Amino acid sequence: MSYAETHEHHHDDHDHKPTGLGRWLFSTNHKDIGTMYLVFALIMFFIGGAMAMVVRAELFQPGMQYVDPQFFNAMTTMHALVMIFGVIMPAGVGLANWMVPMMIGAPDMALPRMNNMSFWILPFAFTMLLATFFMEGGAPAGGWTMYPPLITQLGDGFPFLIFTVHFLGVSSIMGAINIIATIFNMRAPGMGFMQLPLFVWTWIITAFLLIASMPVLAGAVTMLLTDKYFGTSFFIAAGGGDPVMFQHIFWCFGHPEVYILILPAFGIVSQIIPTFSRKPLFGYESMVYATAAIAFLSFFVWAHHMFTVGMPLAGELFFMYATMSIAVPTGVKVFNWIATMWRGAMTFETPMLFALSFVILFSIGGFSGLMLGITPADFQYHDTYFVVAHFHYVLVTGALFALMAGAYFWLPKWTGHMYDEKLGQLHFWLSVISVNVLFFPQHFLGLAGMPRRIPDYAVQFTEWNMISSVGGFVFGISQLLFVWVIVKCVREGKKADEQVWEGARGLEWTLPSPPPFHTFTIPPKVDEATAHS
Amino acid sequence: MGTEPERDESEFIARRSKANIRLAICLALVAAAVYFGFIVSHM
Repeated sequence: MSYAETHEHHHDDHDHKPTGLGRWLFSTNHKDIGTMYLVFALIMFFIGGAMAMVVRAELFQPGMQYVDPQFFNAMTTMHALVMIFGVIMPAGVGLANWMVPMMIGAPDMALPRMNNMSFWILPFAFTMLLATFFMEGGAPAGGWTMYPPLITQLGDGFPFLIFTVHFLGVSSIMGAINIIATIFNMRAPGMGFMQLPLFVWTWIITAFLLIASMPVLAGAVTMLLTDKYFGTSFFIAAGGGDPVMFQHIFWCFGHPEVYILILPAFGIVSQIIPTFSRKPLFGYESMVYATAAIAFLSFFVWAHHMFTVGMPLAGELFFMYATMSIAVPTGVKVFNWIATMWRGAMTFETPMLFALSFVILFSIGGFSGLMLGITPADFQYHDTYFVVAHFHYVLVTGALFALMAGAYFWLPKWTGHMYDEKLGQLHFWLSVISVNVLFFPQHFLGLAGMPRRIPDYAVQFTEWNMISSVGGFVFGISQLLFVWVIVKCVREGKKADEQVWEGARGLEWTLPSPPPFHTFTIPPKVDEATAHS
Repeated sequence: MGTEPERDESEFIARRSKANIRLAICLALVAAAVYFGFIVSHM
C-alpha cells in the first residue's frame, strides 16, 4: 500500500482553517469548495424538483388545473436548465473538487483562486436566471434548447437568460481548466496516467469535452443576443439567416453535454462496483479507451436530435450509424462492470445498490436512445413523451443515481461518520421504485403519441399520466430522506475509519476520516498496490 | 553517483505553478478560439 504517512504525523502543524463567513467566501481549499458545490447542487435539486412537481400536478389529469400554459412551459424550461446546469454539473464538479486531489495525492487543485471564482459565479448566475420569473414577460418558456425564433419572443428575461448561460459557460470552462491542470501537473510521484483511478480519468475526458463544447453554446447564445438587439440575422430567415442553423450549433454543444453529465457518473460507478465486489475493476484500460471513444464520437452525432427538420438521406444515415456506434464503447463499459462483479464477494450497501440500479436503469435509457437513433423510427417518437422517458432514464436513474451513489460512498470519508445504513437503504428503495413508476409509463404515453411540453392532453392518456404523477410525488418526497441522511451523518454516527469500506483501494482511503484541512502537502509515494490498473 | 539528488521543494512548487498557469492560458485560448471561431464562421 502506498502512503500518506505525512498527514497523520504532521497534519496538526498545518491544519489551520479560516473561520466564519470568510472561510466560505474566500475559500481556496478544494474540500471546502467541493462542499459548497455539493450543497449548492442539493439546494438547486429541490428548486428544480419543485418545478417538476408543478409539471406533474398539472399533468395529473387532462384539462387546465393549476397554472396557465405560459407558466407551465416556463416550468419545463427552467426545470431543465436548473437540473442540468445547477444540479448534475455542479454536483459532478463538487465530487471532482473533493476527490480528485486526494485520489492523485495532490495538496489542492492547481489553481485554487480560480476554483473559488468558478464556484461563486454559479449562485450569481442562477439568481439572475430565477429572477426572470418576476420580470415582464416571465421566465424563459421556449424550452431549454432555446430555439429561435420562439426564444427571441421572450420579454425582459431574455438578456438575463443569455448572460446566465455565458456565466455558466465561464464557470464550467474555468473548472475544466483547473481539473486538467491538476491532473496533468499535480499527480504524486509514481502515479502515471494508467494508474489513475477511473473517476479521475472520466474527469480528464469530461474536462476536455467542456472546453470544446461550452464555447459553442456561448457562441450560439451570443448570436441569439445580437439577432435580438443588434440587428444581425444569424438565425432570422427574413434577414437571410437560418433558424435550423441554431439547432445544428446548439446540438453540436448539446450532445457532448450529455456525456459531460454522464461520464463522471461512469467514473463514480467504476469506483464503487470494484469496492463492493472486492475485486479490481475488470478491463481498466478498455474502460479508459471506451470513455475516450464515447467522448470522441459524441461530436459526430448531434443531428440525431433533429432528424425531423428535413436533411438529405445521406446525412440522416450518417448520423444514425454514428449514433449506433456509440453503443459499442458503452457496451464495453457495461460488460466490464458486470465482469467486475462476476464471482466477486459482493455486499449491497447503499452506494452499491445505487450503482447497480444505475447499470440496469441507465442501460434501459441507452436502449431507448438506440430506438430514437433509428431515423425512420424517430419520425414517430420525435417530440413525444418517449423522448422525455428516455432522457430521464439517462439523467435521473443514470447521472443522478450515480451522484447519489457517490455521495453515500464518500460521505463517511468527508464527515468522519458512517451514515445511517437503514435510512440509506429506505431512501434507495423508495427512490428506485417511485422513479420507475414516474418514468416507465412515459414510454407508453410517447409511443401512443402524447407530445412533450404540452400542459393539456387527450383523455386517452389520463391513466398513465396519473400513475406517472403519483410516482413523481413519491420520488420528490423521498429525496427529503436523502437530506435527512446527510444531515444526520454530518452531526452523528458511528466513527468511520480511514479505509471506510473493506474493499476500498486508493490514496484517498489512506487519509483519516474526515481528512485534515490540508492533505498531501508532502507528496505520497505511489506503488504497485495502490495503482488502479 | 547512485543517489538521487534532494529535490528543492520550493523551486519545484514555483516551477509547477508556472506550468499550471501556462497550461491554463493555453486551454483558455482554445476555448476562446472555439467561441469566436463559431461566431465568425457563421457571419
